[in-house]
Amino acid sequence: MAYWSHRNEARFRAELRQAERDLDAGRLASARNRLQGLTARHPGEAESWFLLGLCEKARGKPAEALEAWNQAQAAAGSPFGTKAAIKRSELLIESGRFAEAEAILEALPRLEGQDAADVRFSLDMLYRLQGRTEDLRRLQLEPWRFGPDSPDLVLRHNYSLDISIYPSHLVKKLTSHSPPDDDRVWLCLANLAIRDGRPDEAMPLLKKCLERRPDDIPVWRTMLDAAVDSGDVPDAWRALEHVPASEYSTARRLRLRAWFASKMGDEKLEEETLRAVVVEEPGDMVSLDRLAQIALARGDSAEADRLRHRRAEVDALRARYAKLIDRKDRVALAAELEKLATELGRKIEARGWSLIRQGKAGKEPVIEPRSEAGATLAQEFADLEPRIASFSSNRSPESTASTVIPFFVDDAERVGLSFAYDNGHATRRPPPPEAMGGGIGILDYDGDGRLDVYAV
Amino acid sequence: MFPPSRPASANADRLFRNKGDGTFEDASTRARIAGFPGGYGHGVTVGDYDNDGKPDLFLTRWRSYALYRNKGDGTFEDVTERVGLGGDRDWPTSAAFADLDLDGDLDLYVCHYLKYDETNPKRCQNDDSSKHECNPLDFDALPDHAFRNDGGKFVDVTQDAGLFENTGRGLGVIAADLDGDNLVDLYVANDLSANYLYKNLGGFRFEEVGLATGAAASASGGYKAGMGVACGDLDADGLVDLAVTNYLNESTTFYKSLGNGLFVDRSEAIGIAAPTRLLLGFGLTFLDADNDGRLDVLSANGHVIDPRPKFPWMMPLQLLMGGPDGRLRDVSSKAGAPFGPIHLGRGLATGDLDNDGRLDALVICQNEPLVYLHNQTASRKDRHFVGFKLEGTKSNRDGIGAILTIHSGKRSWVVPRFGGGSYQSAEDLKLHVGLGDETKIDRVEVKWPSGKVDVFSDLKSDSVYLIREGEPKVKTICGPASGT
Repeated sequence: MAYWSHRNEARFRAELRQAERDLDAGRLASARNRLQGLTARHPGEAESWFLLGLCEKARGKPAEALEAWNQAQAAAGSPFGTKAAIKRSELLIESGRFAEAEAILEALPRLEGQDAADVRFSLDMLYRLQGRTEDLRRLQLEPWRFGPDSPDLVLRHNYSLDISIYPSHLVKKLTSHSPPDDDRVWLCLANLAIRDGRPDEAMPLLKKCLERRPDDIPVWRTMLDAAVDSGDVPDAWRALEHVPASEYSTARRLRLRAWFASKMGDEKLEEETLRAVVVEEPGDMVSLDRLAQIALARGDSAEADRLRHRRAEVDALRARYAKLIDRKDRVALAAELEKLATELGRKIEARGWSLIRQGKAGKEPVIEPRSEAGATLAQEFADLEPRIASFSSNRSPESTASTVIPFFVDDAERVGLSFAYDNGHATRRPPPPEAMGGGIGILDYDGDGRLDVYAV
Repeated sequence: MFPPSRPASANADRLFRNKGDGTFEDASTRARIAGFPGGYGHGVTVGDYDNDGKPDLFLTRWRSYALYRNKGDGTFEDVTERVGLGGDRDWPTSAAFADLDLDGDLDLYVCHYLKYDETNPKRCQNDDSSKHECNPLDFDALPDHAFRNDGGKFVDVTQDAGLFENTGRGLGVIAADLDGDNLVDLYVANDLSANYLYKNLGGFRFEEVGLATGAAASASGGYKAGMGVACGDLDADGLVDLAVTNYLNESTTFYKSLGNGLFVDRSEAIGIAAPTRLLLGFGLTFLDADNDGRLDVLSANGHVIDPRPKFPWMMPLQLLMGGPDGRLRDVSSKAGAPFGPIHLGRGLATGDLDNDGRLDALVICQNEPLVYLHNQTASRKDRHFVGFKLEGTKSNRDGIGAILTIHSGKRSWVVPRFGGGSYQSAEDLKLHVGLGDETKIDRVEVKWPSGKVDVFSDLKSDSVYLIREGEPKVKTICGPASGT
């Protein structure tokens, strides 16, 4: 720009604004003409490339848009380089190209401001699709450092991570046109398989992922999930050797330890560990329930009863917390939220509410900074290792050739069972009574020994 | 149309008669069904309420019940008013026939959902007056109703029976002896609040023991959105278990029986949690689809609102197969074309519609043709079955509440004849049991609701037998089935 005359620069700016107006007004051909001229004359100017990218996207030309934004990114030092990178990664996500999008996003700075929020938003999406809850949590707590406008919302997001649903539908949709060699797509599909209850199908995908990134923690964490879901002790142990203990909360690590104990048939160790879990995280109802089962199996029905009642109390606390944290005036309720979060063992949130209550949100951290190095989970569980060695992989006892899978055909039309339940309302949001209907009865009404059908 | 017109339009329900050649004909007009007053239909249950040997039909509809008495000549009569079941009945859903007072005839339990004013649909606000999408908890729950069969009249005894809980929005019900005291208990799946386990104390008195017995809520806590219920010995330990379909991300819950009416959530352990996590289930049934001697689990699924693009709206049917390791695994993708398409699945019921020894199933989905899951599983030498039709004499004629124990070789099966089940649907009352490679049944024991126990020995497999309470011999209804 230093070589430009003021006149030239003024003309360049005027033309850029005109192109922007054309773009806003939907005059795409005119905007594109102008921007192509500008980028040809001043290829080092990021903003014109950025606008050209928007224009190409609006014209339905994703490849051209990606290329224009790529050029904008190449022009170092301009804020439009960052904006272009964000736009580019958004479009890559929409096209199912997750690995590329992730590389771009993770290289961008995430400090304060709108751009940083946009980067976090897209990364949030990518982590969510890949089932990377731990990374999501760290990401969502990041704004806390900057003294966020709504610290309560940061805590609300942290809470909602524990009740959020895996976006299976979105994974299927976005990956349907993915390039075949995108290893982050494989990771998504592995997660989908696990959450669909097909952990065995996740394994080959994860092995492929590891060939690309042998020490990648997100992949090893997913490997651990898959192994635990399919009850495979040796595979789970292998994953532990690659996951730093600092990745998981204390309660989560104890639960994992209890799982190994139960797999080894060591009910005493399991019970002892689960007791530690519910001290660390009193709101863990699954562990309370399992403790009750163990007590029952031992014939200690008084203890089982106590644990069941404890669980019911915890459930009431949890319901109260869920209700309060959803309220818009939650900041005013910080004291009660802090108390509930403490009683449930939700440590990050308890600390967060406490800081909000004292007016220190953002000034003091809610989590300890992450330590990169440190022991792996396997090192932490070293006392279990000698007993793990006796397990052999239990992979697919079912894939023996003799298995017959039940097989059905839909013969309704062929046999004359033509009936359709009409809820009278085909829209996306039927009133409740219309969402629920339809029943079927099977009976031999005429006593001829053959089953007839009553359709409601 | 909803709300339905008043007075009620003609009955749009359909009765299909099995012609015996594998096809069906619409017999609604001939059987007089088509001429009865209709309504906005919800569900159906089947039972011989007058013990005349002919199955009758009970219907739940928006703001009404209907009872169709089977006259035995191929026609039905509408006896709703005569038996005392007329009038405005708000929002009934699933129902179950069972002899709750052990007097030998079938009483009736009807789940009711929530208070909804169709003339003035509610808008929902948060405590801080922001708006949200209404969910069932925004509407008051309606109490379920229990009716005692007094010689063919149904008398509402909900209050006196101790069944008047008004916190539950009932969607599914099972009537079976769940604590081994020979009295028929009731298990009710409620939407978003604790499920009920009503322990039968005798004399048509019940006590709600859901929380104390572990059957009220799943281990992860937070009451789930219970929809449909299944009942049977899923883990083959000789005790009758329960399972409940839930909302998206809540997974189907498997309540393993520990005996004496105690239950624990073992959804993860049996492998039902993971494959059902991304489904919103309604109809649910245990069945041995391949006659390998292990129960499988079939479900109809579909959301109640459209949550796209993040989550699915319509969903596929699902078949989980019981494996030799005691765990269920999802075999839907290999179980044939009907498991491909997505639906708004609701009601689901099983029965061997073509008498070939393989259990078929029917599924009602919203706004599309019903699905007939015609079982075509390859026949093998090591796949056998046996069927039983129960006929009570002292007990109710349908034998609802009876429990069969079958011994064959080293294996045994415990099979309850429960009332209700699944979601707003009624399965065939005959019991179908897969036997794996067993071709001979050493011993069958029937524990009737009356307390009587009948024992038979040395029966051949691949047959359907009639067991009449108190008679020394079974009668073969259907010989070794061809083709299996």
